[in-house]
Amino acid sequence: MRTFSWGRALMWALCALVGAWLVVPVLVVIPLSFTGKPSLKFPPDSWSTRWYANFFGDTAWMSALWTSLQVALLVTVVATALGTAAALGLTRARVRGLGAAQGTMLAPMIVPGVVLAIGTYSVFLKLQLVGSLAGFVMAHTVLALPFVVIPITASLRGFDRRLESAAASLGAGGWTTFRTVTLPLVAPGVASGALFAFVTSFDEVVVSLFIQSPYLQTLPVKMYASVTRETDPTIAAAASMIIVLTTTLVFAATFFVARRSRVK
Amino acid sequence: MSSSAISPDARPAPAPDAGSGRNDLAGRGARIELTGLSRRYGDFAAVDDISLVVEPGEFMTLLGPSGSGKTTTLNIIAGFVSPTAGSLKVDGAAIESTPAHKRDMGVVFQHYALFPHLTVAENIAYPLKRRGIGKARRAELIRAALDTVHLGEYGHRYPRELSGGQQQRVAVARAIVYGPRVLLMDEPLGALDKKLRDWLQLEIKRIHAELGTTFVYVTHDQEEALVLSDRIAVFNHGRIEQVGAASELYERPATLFVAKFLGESTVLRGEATRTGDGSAVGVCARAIHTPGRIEGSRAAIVVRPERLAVRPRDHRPEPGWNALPATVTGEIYLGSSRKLELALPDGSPALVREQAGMLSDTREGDEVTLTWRAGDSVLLPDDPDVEAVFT
Ligand SMILES: Nc1ncnc2c1ncn2[C@@H]1O[C@H](COP(=O)(O)OP(=O)(O)OP(=O)(O)O)[C@@H](O)[C@H]1O
Ligand SMILES: [Mg+2]
Repeated sequence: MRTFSWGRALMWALCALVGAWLVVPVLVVIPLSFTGKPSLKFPPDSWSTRWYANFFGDTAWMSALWTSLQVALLVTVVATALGTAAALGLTRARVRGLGAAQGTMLAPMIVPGVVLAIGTYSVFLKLQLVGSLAGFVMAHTVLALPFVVIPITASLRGFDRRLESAAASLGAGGWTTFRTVTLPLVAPGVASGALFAFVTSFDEVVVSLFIQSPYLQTLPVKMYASVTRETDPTIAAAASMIIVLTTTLVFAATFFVARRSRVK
Repeated sequence: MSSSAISPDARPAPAPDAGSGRNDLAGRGARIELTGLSRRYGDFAAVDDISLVVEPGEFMTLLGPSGSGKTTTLNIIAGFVSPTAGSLKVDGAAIESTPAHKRDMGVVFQHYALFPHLTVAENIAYPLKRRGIGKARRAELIRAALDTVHLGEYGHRYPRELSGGQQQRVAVARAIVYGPRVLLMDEPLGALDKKLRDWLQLEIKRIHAELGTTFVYVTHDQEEALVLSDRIAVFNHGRIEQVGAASELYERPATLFVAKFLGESTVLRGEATRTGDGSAVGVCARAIHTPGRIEGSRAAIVVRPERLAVRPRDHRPEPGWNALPATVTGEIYLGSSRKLELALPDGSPALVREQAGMLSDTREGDEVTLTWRAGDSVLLPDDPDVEAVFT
């Protein structure tokens, strides 16, 4: 039998408060997106799905969504591949300056976004990458890399290297060993790295604002532009869809990782 | 031990019909030749200039205390560690620069190293897939390997669903399924309890006899080495002290280290002088005779406990026998035998083993005479370092 304790009650109350603090602003957006009036007044006094119709009917919104998806998927592939290679190097290489290399790779997580944005912008101007798909992918990959390297490094540190010796003794060369033994066993780390890469790119605003052009905008950029010009609830519809997409992805990944670790 | 010494030629030829004890995975073992092999880490030599020949089909055990270089030697043979000097040949071909995955040797690791994401059957299929063996043939070989280790019904399980002993047998199955001509094992039973270990030792011995593969087996357990091996290489400080059949190491140890590491013994130290038919060593103001001869005079005489006999104090030794006064300090009854612990006049310990049915009526505290045949005294150069290892 659990007995009632004031300490425990206080702890739960505090947790609930913090939880609400984190979640309520997000959840407010969803009812807003179903408002009947062209204003962002909360709570709405009439309901409709016209902002969703508006979103899918407007070529500007649709092309922004398409750009975002393209960029995020490419970033996921590039950052996961690079991040896996980097994590392998960081956990296994026997060279000096490994700590410095790791620090540099994780820097985008700490350096203020605006600073990175200005630097990226000036370099991209010179290289004529502003407003290009390649430019977005490159910039977002830099931002996503730390979030890929961290979980994969953690997986690799927990990996038993003797399994690789065993694979070698059984006739597997370096690449085969990586493909058939190492990668399957660190897959949960790689999957969560890939997910972070996607999400990082998909909701990136600051750097994207600098390197966008009127012809190539990502969804968050378009939303920002929209909210600064007019108070059009289409932005709430867009935001709601981002919430649903990212939440689904995170849940799917959590499920995948849980199943994988049960297999082990 | 000589009964278990199998020479490759004396091995019965595989019967033409399967099912009469013939193993489908049987093949011929390779000859392994290590010459002047060393592995240094900075100033430290983990393996220091060792030379060893393992004959085809032989069961060779590398025995030695912790840190003596056994694993390093095995890893050099497997290709996980490269030697800093010396040569390594398999069937006459130098393989120092062949990468591990091209050496075609089976390796069984102490902690099994089974792939956790693959089932038992998939684990065993792994080396077969690397060799491009077709599906049907794979299934046959997996079956043969699982039958060899008596795990026929476990193919669909994951390693985590097996006990330690079962996992170890899967590791053996995986290492023999592709018919390697050499099987390397690094303390494969080290993580198991005593009873399971005793049984798996016999299993390993049976598999060795069935396959005809050359086995190189690492252990620090001398009993295990005695049970399994055709020959034993005793390691100490990265060097091989002696190589030989167990009986040879026990009866004719080449160094004091080997004498103390393998089995029990009484060690008598003193100055050696040459006599007409051997040497005499001064121990507790008496001359102890031995047929052996050594360079130098700092000597140690080793006598095995079953060679020593306890007699009354007034016993007169017959010619050709040695005698020393001693005091009984303890007795340990072991059922089939009894061990007596004694102290010599200079305080050093002695150990006697009496077979049941031949027990003297000696008791703790008795003043006795210790006697043994001069021929049972093994004369060795004294080695002060040895005490450090064993105390
Ligand atoms: N990579 C390494 N770097 C430095 N020293 C090493 C390395 N590998 C082994 N050694 C040293 O070499 C010596 C021999 O090691 P090895 O593992 O061969 O011993 P072992 O006989 O297998 O001992 P054990 O019975 O404890 O397994 C040890 O002193 C060890 O510390
Ligand atoms: Mg070892």
